[in-house]
Amino acid sequence: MSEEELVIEAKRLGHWQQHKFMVLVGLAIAVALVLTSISLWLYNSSGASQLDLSRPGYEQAREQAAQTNGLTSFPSSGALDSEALNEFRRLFDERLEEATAIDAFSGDVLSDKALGIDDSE
Amino acid sequence: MNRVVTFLAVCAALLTTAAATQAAFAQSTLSGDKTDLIRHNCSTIQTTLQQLRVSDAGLRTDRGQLYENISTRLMTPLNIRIASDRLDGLELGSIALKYNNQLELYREKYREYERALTRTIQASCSSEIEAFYERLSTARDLRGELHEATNELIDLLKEYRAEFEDFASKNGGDK
Repeated sequence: MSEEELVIEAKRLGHWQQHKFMVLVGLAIAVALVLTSISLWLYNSSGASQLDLSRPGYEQAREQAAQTNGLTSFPSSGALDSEALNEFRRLFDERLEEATAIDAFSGDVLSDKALGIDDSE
Repeated sequence: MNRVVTFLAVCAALLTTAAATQAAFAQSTLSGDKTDLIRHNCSTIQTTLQQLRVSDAGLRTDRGQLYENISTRLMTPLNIRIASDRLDGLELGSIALKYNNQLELYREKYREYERALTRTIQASCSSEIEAFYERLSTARDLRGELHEATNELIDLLKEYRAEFEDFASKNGGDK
């Protein structure tokens, strides 16, 4: 096919056919935007964003969480004899002690007094 | 034409009155001293709230992992072994179920509290003092509910521990 024939062929094409590559790129970007928006919506609505310690400003919390990994599991198979019960008791008591060591989310850290806005003083 | 203008003027007057009444009511909920204190300490309050949000996120992850591990690595394996040995562990299973439900409630309460705290931080404590204080009160209440949910979890752990001792004494476990 000669060059002239190609030009004639191109002129015969419709507007969309002439720009189909750009349309493809545009559609790919639109699809990517839609999928990213859905992902972000899911990230926020599921509560995952609130637990995501990789966010900027959460370095301190990240370090704290990294130190608290690792817990021995109680085997889910085997005879439940005296030795196994004692082992469970030891593991459970360790965890219970850890759980009761901190009174989590306690205190009145959000009180007017704590925030320095108590006008009754 | 005059009627339309009169009607519109009356509507505008009513709307203005309603807005003014609402603003006056909103202002009356906070004393002047408190408003001044909030405005004066605004930057300190914002910093404190942001630090609290970060430390609470760490605490939530730390405690959440611990509470979840107790369920998945201790309670569930024990309940499986009790069932496979055909022993009577109905009460232990029941407490474990309650604990898991409470764990879900704890997660939900944290989500609510964190959202409320974020909304408080987003409100301007220098120009939107009323809105800021209202959001702060909500966050405070939700933190209280979260604390209550955490205490419930601890109570269930203690209950499970007591029930385990009962189970162990019936099934040859030393104390």
